[in-house]
Amino acid sequence: MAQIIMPKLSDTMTEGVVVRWLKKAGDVVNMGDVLAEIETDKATMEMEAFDEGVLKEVYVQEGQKIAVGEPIALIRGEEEESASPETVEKIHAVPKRRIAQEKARIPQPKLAEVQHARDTADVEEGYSRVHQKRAGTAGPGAAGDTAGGRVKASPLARKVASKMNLDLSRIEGSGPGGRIIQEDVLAAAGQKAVVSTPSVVALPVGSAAEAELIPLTPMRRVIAQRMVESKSQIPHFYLQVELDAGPMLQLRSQANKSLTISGEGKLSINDFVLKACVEALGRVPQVNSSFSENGILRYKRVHLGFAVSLEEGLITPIIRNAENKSLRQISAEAKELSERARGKKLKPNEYQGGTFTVSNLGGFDIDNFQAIINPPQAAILAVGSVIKKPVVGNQDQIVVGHRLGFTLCCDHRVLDGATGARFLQELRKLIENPTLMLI
Amino acid sequence: MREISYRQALNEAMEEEMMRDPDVFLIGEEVAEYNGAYKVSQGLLEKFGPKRVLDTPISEAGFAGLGIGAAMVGLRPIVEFMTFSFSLVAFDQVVNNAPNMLTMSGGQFNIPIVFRGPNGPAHQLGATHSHATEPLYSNFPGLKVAVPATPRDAKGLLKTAIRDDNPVLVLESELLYNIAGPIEDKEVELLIPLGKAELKREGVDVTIICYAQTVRMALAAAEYLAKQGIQAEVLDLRSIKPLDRETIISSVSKTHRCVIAEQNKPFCGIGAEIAFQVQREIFDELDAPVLRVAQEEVPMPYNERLEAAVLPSQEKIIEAVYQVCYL
Repeated sequence: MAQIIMPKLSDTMTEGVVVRWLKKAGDVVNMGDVLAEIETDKATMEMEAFDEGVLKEVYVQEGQKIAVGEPIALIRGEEEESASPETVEKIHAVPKRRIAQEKARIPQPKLAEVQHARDTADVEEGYSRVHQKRAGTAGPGAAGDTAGGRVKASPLARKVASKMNLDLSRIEGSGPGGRIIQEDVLAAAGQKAVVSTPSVVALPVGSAAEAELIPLTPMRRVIAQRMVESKSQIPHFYLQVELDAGPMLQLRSQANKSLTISGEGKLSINDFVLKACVEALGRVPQVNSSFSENGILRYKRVHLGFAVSLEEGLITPIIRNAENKSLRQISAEAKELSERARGKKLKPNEYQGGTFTVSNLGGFDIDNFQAIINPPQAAILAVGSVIKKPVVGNQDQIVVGHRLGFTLCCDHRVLDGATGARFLQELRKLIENPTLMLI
Repeated sequence: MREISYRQALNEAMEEEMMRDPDVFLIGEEVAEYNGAYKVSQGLLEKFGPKRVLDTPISEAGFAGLGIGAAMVGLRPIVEFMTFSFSLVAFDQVVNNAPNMLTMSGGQFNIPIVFRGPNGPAHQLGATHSHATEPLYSNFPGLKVAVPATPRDAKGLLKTAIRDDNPVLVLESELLYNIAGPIEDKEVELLIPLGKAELKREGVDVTIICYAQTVRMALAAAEYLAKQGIQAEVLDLRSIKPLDRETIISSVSKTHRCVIAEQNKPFCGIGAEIAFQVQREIFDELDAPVLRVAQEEVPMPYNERLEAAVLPSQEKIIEAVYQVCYL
């Protein structure tokens, strides 16, 4: 993956204007293709691609002025779609990118040469990088399938796995050459936290009613299995609140006016709720956790799931590393993921591995409801619709309020009432003072 | 708290110690009449007179040896090398006579001497004047090596070095002489112990170990990484020898990943030693191989762009952090 930054095209250039994009998001980009026209303090110049792949994202609108070094777009290699981490390369500056190109052109050293080089000079880092890349071309896979059955794992991953009594050979490594790293072990432990999956036992059907048998689709089966598992094993409790959505609605309509003028996608209420959850999870990280036999796993990143209903069930696409994303990025990503979810185009890593979920039935005029936790997560937020109703105002007068119902459904093994309540307090602060989400 | 330059901090350290102890004196090329090639000894001749601030001929081996002799009879010399690239001419004095005298004289003569001056690459000085000598001197038992990165550390470490009863090298940097930083008021006695690293920034995802010139690069890299959600811990060694193993180990135990940013050449460099210590002590805590960012393994080019390509940089540190974080 290559981050494209605003290049320094002249000695005195400190910022540049993207005059025109010649490629748009989704376009295939070859090395040397002109990506955009950049206006510097001296001239308008063409910016070429130094990487190939798909132009994944364009961060900057035409006409926008950007400081040198700031990211303006993202190119992702075509074979990287499922992002094998060892092939991910971040590039910072044009000269550096050139160096990377030079490096790429250097033929891979033969073993004897490498040995010689190692004997004569210190090329340790360079060597291991080449070596890892080569080993890595096989892509990550079950670590067990490395030659001779040796499992490649970092020392820390080994220690953590042995503490948790996990078999490394069953864990998929995401590091270079399939190396298992700590995160892989924790992820595996999180899955294990779900423990044995009970088969779905159907309750006896009453004989009186006439019925038509609808065969179970694979999705229906999975939903049934996971929900039974969750509701029977996880001690749920529920915390319900009603928030003032007025300020958020105001901000949203204001923002959407400007976004409509510039022809961009509008922000939905759910976008605000998602962003508020991300912020609140940062403030009360206990909620961003999983229960496992060996302890509570508290996740460092927020992989935010949100339920999308489909004809035959539902699915929860994941916004990965949401803690680093702005409201607009979250909105765009949610929209894009929902569309692909409805078209059944999601890849497994786009709906697995979430750390918290939001389920919104606001669009169906539900005031407030309780949801079932999506294991191995510790909580799910159920979101109702905004309802106009009379509320008591600041001066004890009755005013028209826009009220939004939230229910936080918690796993009591991980969270206690007070922790859940604190999370909801933070959510309230954010929803009722929505400008906090923008800064 | 006031702010002073790194240069001024060193000057204050020498002034205060010369006031405190009449046995302390300064010798070196141009240190007296010219106030120092980099003006570090500004005003000292005027204050302490020609018996305690002495200009020497261009003869490093000669005046380094003279310093060692003076130390043997009870004085406490500060020997300034105009640059540590020139200390190589006096290598035998610094690595053979200074650190070995105590042992070889059966404990009769300790050598309370300080060798100080700018060390490491500066700007376009070419291959012969850009040496980062810290790995060389750290290789000799009996020598202590301080590598201050800030005015405060420069003053505190130099004062401690002058009071040490054995040879200490204070490796300064031409590129740092002008930087300013906060420091205690003059009335406060500022002594910073050798062998104590300083945590410059806390983080949980990776430890960046740095010293002298690489501290600013590491802090800038950490700042950049923070915007991407990577919280780097930045550890300034302040002394290479003694090495603060305890702080290194506790930090890497916490972050499980380590990048060493050093200003010298990589082979047998400071990073090589630290990487060894880390894997020796906490092999099981490592989630990724230890990486180092150093100069490239070539004689220093004079050409400005080539020089920049050879030197460690903020970008190279960021790249290494991505690698150990598997990004």
